[in-house]
Amino acid sequence: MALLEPGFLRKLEALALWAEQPGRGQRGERSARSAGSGVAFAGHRAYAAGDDFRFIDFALYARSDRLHVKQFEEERELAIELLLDCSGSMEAKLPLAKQLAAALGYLALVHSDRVAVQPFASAPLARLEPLRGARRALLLLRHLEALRADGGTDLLQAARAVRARTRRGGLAFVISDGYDVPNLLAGIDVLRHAHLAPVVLLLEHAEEASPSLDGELTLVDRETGEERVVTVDARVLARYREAYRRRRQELRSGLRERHVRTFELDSATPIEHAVLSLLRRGGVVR
Amino acid sequence: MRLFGLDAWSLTLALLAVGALLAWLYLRKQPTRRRVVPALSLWLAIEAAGARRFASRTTSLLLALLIACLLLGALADPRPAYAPGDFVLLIERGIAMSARDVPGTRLAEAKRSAHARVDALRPGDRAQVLSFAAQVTAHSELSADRARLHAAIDRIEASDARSDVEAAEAFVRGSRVVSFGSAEVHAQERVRVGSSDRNVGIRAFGVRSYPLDRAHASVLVAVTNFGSRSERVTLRVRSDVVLYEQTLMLEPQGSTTRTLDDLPALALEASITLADGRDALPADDRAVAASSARAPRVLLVSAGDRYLEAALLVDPALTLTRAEAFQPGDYDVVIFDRTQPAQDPALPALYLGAPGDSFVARPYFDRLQATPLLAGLALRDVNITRAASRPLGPGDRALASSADGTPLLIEGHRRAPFLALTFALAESDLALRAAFPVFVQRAIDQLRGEPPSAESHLAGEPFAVREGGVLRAPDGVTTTLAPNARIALERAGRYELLADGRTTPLAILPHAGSIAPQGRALPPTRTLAWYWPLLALLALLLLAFEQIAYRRGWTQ
Repeated sequence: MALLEPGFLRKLEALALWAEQPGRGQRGERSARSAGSGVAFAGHRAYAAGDDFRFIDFALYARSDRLHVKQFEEERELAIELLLDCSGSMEAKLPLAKQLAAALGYLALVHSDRVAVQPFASAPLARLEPLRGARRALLLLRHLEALRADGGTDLLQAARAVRARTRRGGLAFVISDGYDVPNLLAGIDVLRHAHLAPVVLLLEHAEEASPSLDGELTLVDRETGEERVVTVDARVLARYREAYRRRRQELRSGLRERHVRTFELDSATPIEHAVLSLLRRGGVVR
Repeated sequence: MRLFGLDAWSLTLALLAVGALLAWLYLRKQPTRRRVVPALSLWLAIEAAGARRFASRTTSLLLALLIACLLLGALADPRPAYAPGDFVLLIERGIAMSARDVPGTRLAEAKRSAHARVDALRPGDRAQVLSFAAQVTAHSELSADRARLHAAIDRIEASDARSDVEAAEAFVRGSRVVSFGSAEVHAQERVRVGSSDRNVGIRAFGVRSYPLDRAHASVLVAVTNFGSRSERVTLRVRSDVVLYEQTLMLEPQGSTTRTLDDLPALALEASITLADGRDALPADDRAVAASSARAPRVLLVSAGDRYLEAALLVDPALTLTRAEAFQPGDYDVVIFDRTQPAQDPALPALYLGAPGDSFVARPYFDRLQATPLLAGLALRDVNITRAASRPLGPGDRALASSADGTPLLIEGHRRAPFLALTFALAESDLALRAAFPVFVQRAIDQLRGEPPSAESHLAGEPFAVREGGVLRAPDGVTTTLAPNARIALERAGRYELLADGRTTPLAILPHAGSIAPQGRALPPTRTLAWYWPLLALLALLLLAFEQIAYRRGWTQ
């Protein structure tokens, strides 16, 4: 496999994705507390409208005069949505983005979780419908390998497309460079409303943070093709760096307000380090 | 300003063409480098304002035009127009220029610089070579011939006189002067020569023989430290052997004078030596003095007279030559005893028994003139058998005569002074008197005259030669001097003045003084001979500036 080395794949098999609350799905290898079906009693919780009457613990009601429902632990599969930014601005970062998606997807597959890939640019691209089981890993990787960076960015549309296809909650990994901050935050909101806990992997390229440009240049926007003649000097570069920092800060603030776990990765970061160290330390992988 | 490269017309055309080309290149849309960026929106907010871009483009164009102008100006090779001038190359040759604190002497250094200045003369320039010490000397006329100017410089010799700066400045006033030396002369250009002020010199040196003992003399010598540091000096006075030696300690600008008694009245030489031998000016470390003392040389023309010879030998220094007939020679006095030369001997002479037309019997000294020759002599009782009755010649006078007016002792002057006794010694008892030897010695002294004064002068100081004569320099060169001539001798040493058969010694002392270099050097006003390197350099500097400006975004 070109995206991930076999040795790294073996290391991944010893890990697992960690989600605070598995989504509603088929039974898998992941335990989830849920009122109702299951074999192992896990505890009580207060009754809420809509709870199945069958799980009300009337014995407890008799003692406490309050309604509680019984909870049982049940092994459930986790639904993983990989939203991969394939816009033109991702060209330099796409290799790492693909590797991250492949690693996360492979992790999910080997633990019998369901993995779907929704690449997007200015519109949602061809979606890889949910896969399950390690045998489908090859299909996942091939799909990722075929992706190319081109066009604009619209996470909101991609998130809406995911919401339309997803009935259950789960984890949604958004892998993007986050240049379009309002659109990205709006997309995050849509995912949250769809009970998909978003995890944002923000990729950054050193040349974009501190470009080495000089003199009079015709700058071409990679996504839109728009051109503008700009005279770059030290003062302009300083102002660019400040604008870049402010935009990044705006994105971080928006994600923090939404309690979205965010990981910022440099595009030159080796995939093993990104997964085994950064994501693991961040609690995404265990 | 003249153009030696492109002519004015070509330069103008080139400027116009290059200027138009540059303006066209800047006015047309310049291709820019294309760079793809992930998010152009970030750049749009901070893009340089249009006015600033226009300013930077204009600055860039102006810089390019300026660089092109400078390069074309360099190609035109402009050179400044030069106005030829007349220069006076004034070289100091006073005693300070004999100092050896530079390679060779200061004069040699000054001459080297003068040669270099001659070589640096430009086409059309002319120069005249002058030198000065006590006097100003012209060594060439105003000339553009470098060979003649070099030869004139080579002819300049050092002097032992002090440099008279005022005289030199007055001489060259109004000229474009290039001075070479250690004295500060008002000049347009000045080459300052010398570095040290260490000099101890003999300021005065004189010898005076005692009046009653002409074989011995009193010597005065004065030494001065002209430098700015204390010096230990050894002073020596010598003739053939060292007669006096003493070590002196002289403070800066300090002097000392020594009077030495009872030294032989000979030709003496004084010299000083510094303890470390580093006197920058050796020329004033040695001085000579002339002594007039010389034993009288007497020719006695006589058939023999024991009393007379005994009286002559009272002076042990007297050199007596006996002869029966007069023979010319180097004598101070000739004594004719009862004889008369065929012709005037042209030498001071004492006649004893002068011939006369008639004789007076038994005359005696009665009328004695008050003269140093006869002062204190008891002559009135001298017995005389007879004396010649001789009329006085023109200018003659009787120093002693008988009561009847018969002259007994005559003083006169023909070609040389003479004294004459009108009676023979054998015809009187004068030779037996105690006064006789004194009379003979006084007569010799009077006939020799006053000993020539042992004159000494400082080099370069003018003095009068009253009687004229022939001056013989230490190197043997002779110069004829008219009576009352005023001369100034610039080389120190022992001279001799020959006049009336007498030799008068003359000592010229070096004019010791401070040798500290004065003032500061004035290099020639340098004008650029070529402007093209400067223009090219400016163009390069502007190119470098343009690079910096481009990197900083001031230009495009």
